[in-house]
Amino acid sequence: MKRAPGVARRLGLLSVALAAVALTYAIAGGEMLVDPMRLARGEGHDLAFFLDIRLPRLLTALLVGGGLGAAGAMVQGILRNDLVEPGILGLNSGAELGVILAVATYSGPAWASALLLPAAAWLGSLLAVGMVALLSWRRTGPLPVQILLAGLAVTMLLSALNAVLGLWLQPSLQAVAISWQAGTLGSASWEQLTTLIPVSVVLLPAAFLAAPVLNVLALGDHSARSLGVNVTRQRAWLIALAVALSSSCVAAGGGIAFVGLIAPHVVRRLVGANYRAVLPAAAIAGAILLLAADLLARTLFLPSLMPTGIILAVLGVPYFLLLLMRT
Amino acid sequence: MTGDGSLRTKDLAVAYDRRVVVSGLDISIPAGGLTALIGPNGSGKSTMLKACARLLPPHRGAALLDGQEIHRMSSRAVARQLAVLPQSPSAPQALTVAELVAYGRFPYRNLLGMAGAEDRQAVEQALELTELRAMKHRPIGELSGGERQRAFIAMALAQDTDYLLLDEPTASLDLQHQLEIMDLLRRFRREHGKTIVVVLHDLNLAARYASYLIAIREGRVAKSGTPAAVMTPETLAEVFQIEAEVMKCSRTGAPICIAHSAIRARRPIGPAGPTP
Amino acid sequence: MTARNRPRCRRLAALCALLTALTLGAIGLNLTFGPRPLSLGQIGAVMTGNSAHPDDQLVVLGIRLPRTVLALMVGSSLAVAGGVMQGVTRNPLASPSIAGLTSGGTLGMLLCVLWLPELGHFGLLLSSLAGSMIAVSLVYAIAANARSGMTPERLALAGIMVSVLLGSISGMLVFEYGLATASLYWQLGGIMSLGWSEILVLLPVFAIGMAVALVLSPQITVLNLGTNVARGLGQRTGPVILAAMLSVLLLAGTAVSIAGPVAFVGLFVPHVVRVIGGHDYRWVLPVSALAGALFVLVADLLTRSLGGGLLEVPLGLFTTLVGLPFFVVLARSAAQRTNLS
Repeated sequence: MKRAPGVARRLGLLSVALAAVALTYAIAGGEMLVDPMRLARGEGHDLAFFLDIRLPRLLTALLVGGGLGAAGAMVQGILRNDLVEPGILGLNSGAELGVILAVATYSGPAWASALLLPAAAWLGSLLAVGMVALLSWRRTGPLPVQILLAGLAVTMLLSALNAVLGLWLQPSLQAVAISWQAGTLGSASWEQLTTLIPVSVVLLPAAFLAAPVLNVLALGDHSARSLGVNVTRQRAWLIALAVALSSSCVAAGGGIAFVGLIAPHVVRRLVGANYRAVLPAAAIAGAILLLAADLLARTLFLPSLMPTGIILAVLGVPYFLLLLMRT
Repeated sequence: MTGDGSLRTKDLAVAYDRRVVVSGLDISIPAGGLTALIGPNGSGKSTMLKACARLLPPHRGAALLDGQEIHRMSSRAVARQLAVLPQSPSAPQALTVAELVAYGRFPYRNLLGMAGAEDRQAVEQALELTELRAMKHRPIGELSGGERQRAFIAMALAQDTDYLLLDEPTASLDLQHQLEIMDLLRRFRREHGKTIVVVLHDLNLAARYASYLIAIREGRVAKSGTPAAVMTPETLAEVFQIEAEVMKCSRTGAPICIAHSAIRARRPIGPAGPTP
Repeated sequence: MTARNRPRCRRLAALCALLTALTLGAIGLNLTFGPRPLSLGQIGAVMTGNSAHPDDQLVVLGIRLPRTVLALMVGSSLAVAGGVMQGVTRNPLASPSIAGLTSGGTLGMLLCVLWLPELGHFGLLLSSLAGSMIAVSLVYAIAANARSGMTPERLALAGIMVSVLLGSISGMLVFEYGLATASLYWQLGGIMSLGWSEILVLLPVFAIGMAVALVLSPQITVLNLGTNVARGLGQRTGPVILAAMLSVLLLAGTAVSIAGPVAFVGLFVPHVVRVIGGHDYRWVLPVSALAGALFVLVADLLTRSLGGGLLEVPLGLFTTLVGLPFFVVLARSAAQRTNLS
């Protein structure tokens, strides 16, 4: 299954677009414009500011957007449903539960919370995914519909719990919980990146390697089986991979799940249905989307800390609705 | 021109989203007959049936029931004269056979849907005719394919109409149940004077049971007439693109076709080569 | 449907009687229970207008009776709206919240809180009603304008997307104006403390929605066989579906403006009723109305009493905890069915 001609060129164009957005973000993604010339000469406090604040946020957006884009494409392929995103496996609501519990009980120094929050989110999302796995478990292996419905049920349960727990928090902490729920890159820091970078470096290429199996699974369980794929086992592996990737992204960026829905959709129109092209393209598109949304969040809405996820949704949904009307 | 007791179409065209599937259709369904619509996949035979049963609106022209344009008549009035059974209909699994059949009385009900003695009688008769009395309290979900189809036919019967239109009533049934359904339809026609129109896939089944065949190709009537007139090697070659031999069944006298080979398409099907 | 189903008819009649009795009992409990416990005698005295104590009068007529009426309205409208949705879409998992309605209602309320706070509860109510109507019309317009026509899937998709969009706009407002606490509360749903003047505004909306649903019930029974069969039986399916959606909008709009998104009532009540009472919507809808009212009355009573008056457990959490197992079981059997066919 080779990529169709022209796809390589489009992947290249996407990468160029990503580079352009990243550059713009590096210069203008925040309260302060960074002057590239002064930066290159290492003058003043531009360099320190850039290294301490802007660069970690840029890298986080890049990795979280890329990871969620790729994970979204994977989940859509595994469940054979173009309308799902990684959050359907329950991990967003689980991560939120972890964050709320951590915020409510933590009283140590601020720097440690940069590590604590992602860890709590990660544990929470694993808990939720574990519940989904238990609910949808069958001797013969779960079918896509069953995973989907179990994910929906767990999400609904945990969201209700989260809202109640949120009500019991102090008002100042409620804002933290809500902004986290909507998705924000506010917690980006080098401490956080020490875990996000290695995870992404290992898992993203692993996800790209899953493309051939996803291509076969797209034909349906029966055809995949007759083509010699152990559907049950492969699906379990793929889900584990997608969960590992997206839960570390959610731990770093909160509920920015919409990237995982929209990025694969956009790139399918560009590069077709072959996962060898869709997966990398979805990662690039996810990174572009998240960077662009955060750029807007950090420039247009500046005094208020508008969560990136909200801007993403407000911009992304109309596009999606347009798509819906055109088909 | 009203009340001539006929079902026919006048220059009927049907389109799905501006794509015209059937056009210039002028057919007349013989009253009291069992008419079978035959044709290859995608020829438009189901579309014709749906248009005749006002399930699809005409793009141009009209289907006429007793000389009236069927899509201008009140749907309720049509439902008292013409029953239609779509292809593979479905119902809630827990619904019982008797409940399903009782739905056939819907066009006769008042606003509150109260059942009268006449309704009950019609339902009982439909169950009797389709030999479903014994299982009338069984849920639909527990029935076999043949029993299910009979239950839906019973619902259409309970509608107590002169016309009965069925879209592939034998689809996905085994041979025994196919014959059972067709025998049933033939009995309705002979003993109850119903006019029946069926879409059929199986040529031999159509030739054996129908009194009138309409062969359709690419949305137009290629040939119509008695089975003996339509089932000829020439027509089969034209309509189905098959080279076939037609014989006469020694028992029923109906024409039987044995297809020998597919005729290669005379023209290419769209531009060749890989899609861009 | 016909007289041959006598056992089922009798069962349904018995069920109706039982539900009515239980609902009356629950109304009694709702009136007597509270920080100021009252006996049924005292309540009777208030009702007949010869109560000795003015405080009793205030508690019963001013607080508990309106709340009871609101709970009745919320429960019955959600259950009937859910029943209509499930009948029309032939989807046992359909519920009235699918179509972007609650997110529209919440956004409407939020806008009213921010820009027209002087209108008070009355304004909240109307803005929520208007918001949900606009949201549903938007969903409907988008789905109907799709180039290849409207399908149930497209309607559902447009509903989800409009919900996300309106929810995000609400989120923007929440952040711009620092309304985190209020937004958390709205996510769950609970019965607002409204007075008689607001109830009088809602009552006609509720009554029209309920009347349309009940008049349509024989049509919905037939529509449940699919549009082609229904059309073959002489039904004009287009107007019927439109009228059914209108009744869902009015009923669910009423419920959302009173209590916000109270989850699952519209999903599981009609389903339980169908399991017991069959598929004739002339029975399913009224029995669902009774059962829904009873459920929300009891739920409201429990949420008020569980926290001991200090910490009210939100109604939405309670209905989620009760409704979720139903959802899981239902979804499982639905999934199995789609696998078989």
